[in-house]
Amino acid sequence: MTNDLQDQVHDQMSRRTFLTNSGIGLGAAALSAILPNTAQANDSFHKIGPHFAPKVKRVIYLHQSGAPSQLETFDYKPKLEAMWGQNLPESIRGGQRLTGMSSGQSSFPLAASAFKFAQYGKSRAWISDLLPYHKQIADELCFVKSMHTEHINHDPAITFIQTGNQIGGRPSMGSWMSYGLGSENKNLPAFVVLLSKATTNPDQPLYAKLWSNGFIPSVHQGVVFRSGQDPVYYLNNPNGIDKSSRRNMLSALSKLSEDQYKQVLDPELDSRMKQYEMAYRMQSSVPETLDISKEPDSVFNMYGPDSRIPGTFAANCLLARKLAEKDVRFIQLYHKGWDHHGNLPRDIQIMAKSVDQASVALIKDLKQRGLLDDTLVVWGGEFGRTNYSQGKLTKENYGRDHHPRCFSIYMTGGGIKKGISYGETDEFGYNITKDPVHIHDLQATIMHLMGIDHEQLTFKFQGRRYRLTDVAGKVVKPILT
Amino acid sequence: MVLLKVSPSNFEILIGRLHPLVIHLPIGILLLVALFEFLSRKEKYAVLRPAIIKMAFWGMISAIFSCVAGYLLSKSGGYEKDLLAWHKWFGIALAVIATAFYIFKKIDKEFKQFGIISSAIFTIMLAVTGHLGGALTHGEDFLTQPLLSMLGAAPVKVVRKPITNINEALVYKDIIEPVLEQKCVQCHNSQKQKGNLRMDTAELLLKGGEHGKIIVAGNTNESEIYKRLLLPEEDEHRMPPKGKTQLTEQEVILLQWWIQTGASMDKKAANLEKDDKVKTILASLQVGAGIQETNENGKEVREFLEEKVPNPATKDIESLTKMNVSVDVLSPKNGWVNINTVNTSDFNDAQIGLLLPLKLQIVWLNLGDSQITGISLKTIGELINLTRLNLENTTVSDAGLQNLSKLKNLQYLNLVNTPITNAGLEILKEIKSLKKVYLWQSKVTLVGVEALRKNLPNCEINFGEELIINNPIVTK
Repeated sequence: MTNDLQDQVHDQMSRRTFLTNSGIGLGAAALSAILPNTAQANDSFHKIGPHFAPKVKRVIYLHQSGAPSQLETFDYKPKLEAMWGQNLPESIRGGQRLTGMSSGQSSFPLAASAFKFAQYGKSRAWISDLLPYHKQIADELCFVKSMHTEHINHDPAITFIQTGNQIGGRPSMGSWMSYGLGSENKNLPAFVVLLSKATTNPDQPLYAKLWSNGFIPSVHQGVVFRSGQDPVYYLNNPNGIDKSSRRNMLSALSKLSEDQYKQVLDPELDSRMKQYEMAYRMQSSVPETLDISKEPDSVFNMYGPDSRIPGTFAANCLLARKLAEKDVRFIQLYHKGWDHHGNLPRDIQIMAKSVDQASVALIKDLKQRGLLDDTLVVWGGEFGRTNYSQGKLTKENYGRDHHPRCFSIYMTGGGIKKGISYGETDEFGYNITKDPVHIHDLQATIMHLMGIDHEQLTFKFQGRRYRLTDVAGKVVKPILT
Repeated sequence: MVLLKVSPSNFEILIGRLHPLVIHLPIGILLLVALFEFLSRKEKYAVLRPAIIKMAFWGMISAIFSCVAGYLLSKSGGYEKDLLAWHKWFGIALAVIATAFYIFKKIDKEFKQFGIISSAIFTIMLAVTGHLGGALTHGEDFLTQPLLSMLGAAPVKVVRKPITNINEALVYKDIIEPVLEQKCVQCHNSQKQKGNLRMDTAELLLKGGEHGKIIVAGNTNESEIYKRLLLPEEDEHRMPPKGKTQLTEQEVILLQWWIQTGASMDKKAANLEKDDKVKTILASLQVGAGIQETNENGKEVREFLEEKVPNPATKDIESLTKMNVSVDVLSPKNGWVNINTVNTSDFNDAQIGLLLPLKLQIVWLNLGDSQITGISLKTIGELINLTRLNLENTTVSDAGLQNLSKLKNLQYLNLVNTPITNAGLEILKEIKSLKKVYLWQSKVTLVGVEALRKNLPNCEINFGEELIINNPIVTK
């Protein structure tokens, strides 16, 4: 990449530049071109792509943290009903490593879904009674039932799905999109994160590393919008500081940064000034965008009663639509509480209730506003759940452990085939039998829809060029229109 | 001399292949001899004289060796006969003169002017032989072609028109021939005929080479051309040989498809049977490829226009970005541009004219939530390549919609929350390219929408009627 950060620094540090700068300061003119002044800051967000004409302009990623069970939602396995309570055949498990939470069990009794399945829509998509609202939009969705990952525990698996690597420190998917495509809206960050309040056992934390920019310039990091009075920490002016003194302060600071830049040539200074300027613009754009008070009742009815309570998944879905209307590039939602090791039938109902109506409302709302044609919506967790019960299996109660070998997600939006189901698992719902889709494949596909070639978008760091998909990833062409 | 076709031994091949290397020795040495000979006529450079004889000796040796190597190389065949004969005899003559020069120097016969005349002769001969050799390896027009183009007199090189409709493309002429031209013809043409094979015209390609036909219509397994493509790169029969530009995987598949379907010279792509793989490759050959959509019939529908539009001028982009209008180039390979006024909610009819310089490039235009009215639609009607148009939450009215009927590529139209009525829908009926129309919260009625649905059966018209309420399907 020609505008590689390190090359840029290297160019700036060339002998000639160094001499002119440290000499009589003739390089000042050149430098002002490198370090944008405030007037230019608006469109100075450097961008690389798209590499080819995109299908969609933005992504809304509804991440279901904790990993919802595919066997209770979209992947129907009647065999588990027939073999209820019997031990998982060793031939199916194939000696797979299990988490410490169930590896000590003396038996692995197969557990069928406590919720009835039926087929809906022209596409005859299997959906369980757990998600009644989803039945209405069966023909809008593209189910991928053959997702698989490499990680068996939450943190590495979520980090993997977000950054393409199980250890933190790499840029998040949204940061890559911001880096590659920039933002159409100059008053809001390209990468916005909405965290939902947990409805049940909130024991799985979400760390800021999930929306970190990693080693690419910090201007691309995800910005968390919180619910309530102060959506972004320290965004508003403190008491006694008005808008014009803030402006004066920023202008003076910008001059100081320019001076410092001449001495140390640290590109992070540029990044920092851009963020200050962005924050200044966000002081008015954020309250305006997040204001849902003017939404009519019909909208709240559509998203469900929770949508009136700030910080719920439903309220965040509504905000996601508002951010999409404002052309925010990557809108990342997280909803915690899907980690049902025990008491699954009871707890999963609470979780399903909190997402079902709102997820569907979001998709319908995007559609009626004509936004679904250039938006990609992704709904899914970080891995799947086992087909055997963790802990004691009874007719009423069971639990499911982590299962990386297969899980289901769905997507919808521009460029994606609708009303299809891609990939298949075996009759036990344990292994993939057809068209596996790896996390890197999913990432490559999302990038492809945004007009990015996942092999071309790289960033050189510590002597190596990095990509979101590392050295793997294949675009899943069969699900594209 | 008995003319027996004996294939050269490996040692001979090796020596032969050294020819292009060693010929540079006599060229360099003999040119220096000529230079020294010329200089040493002056007393000032008399000191050079003893060197001349030493150099003349090595010039002679290297010239003779070059001749031998050249002869061995010529035995491997594939060179244009006339040209080769001239090159050979000039080369031999040069070696003879170099030898004579050395001998005369050695016996110190001091003819007046002998040295200078003979060195002038071999300098000329060096140039001629060298040029002929170059013509043999690189083709006769290697030097003349760029030279003539510089003078503006070159014969115009055949420029292939990009394939705009793959179904109409001639399989041989438009798809196969360009591949052969790029990857094969370099060694199989009128000047250079490796294996006595020429591939520069269709007739000669079918005729084959020294091993007979290379293409058996309908049977790739018997077709020498295909078999050799599949040999491992190390194999000496592999074509193109190791080190030359290889055919891509797609090109090999296309070639196989062409031969298997009868190696026809005049059929169109549409008339030949093809599997999915071939279909995909063919689709990618079409200009503007990579953005096709497939409809239910499996027919490809493209969102953007086929021809390339010029890249937008920086000053035209800047006049918009200065006002905070976002301008995104959608594809580096084409000039398509996406315009969005999300940052300028006060964008209005007075500013719409700024879009006109980009009227060819704008394919996506988002004016949602802006201050524009029906007046702006006149200008928007000029943006002939527009495919997506967002006008939601504006006051555009029925009156201006007439202008949009000029947009022959318009596929997506968002009129959510505008004062459009059923009268406006009458105009939309004429825009047959439409695929999606959004009318939620406008002033249209279900009757009007139904009428539009009848007229545009392939268009998805979203009126929001089934979406306003979000109730679950209740299961028994």
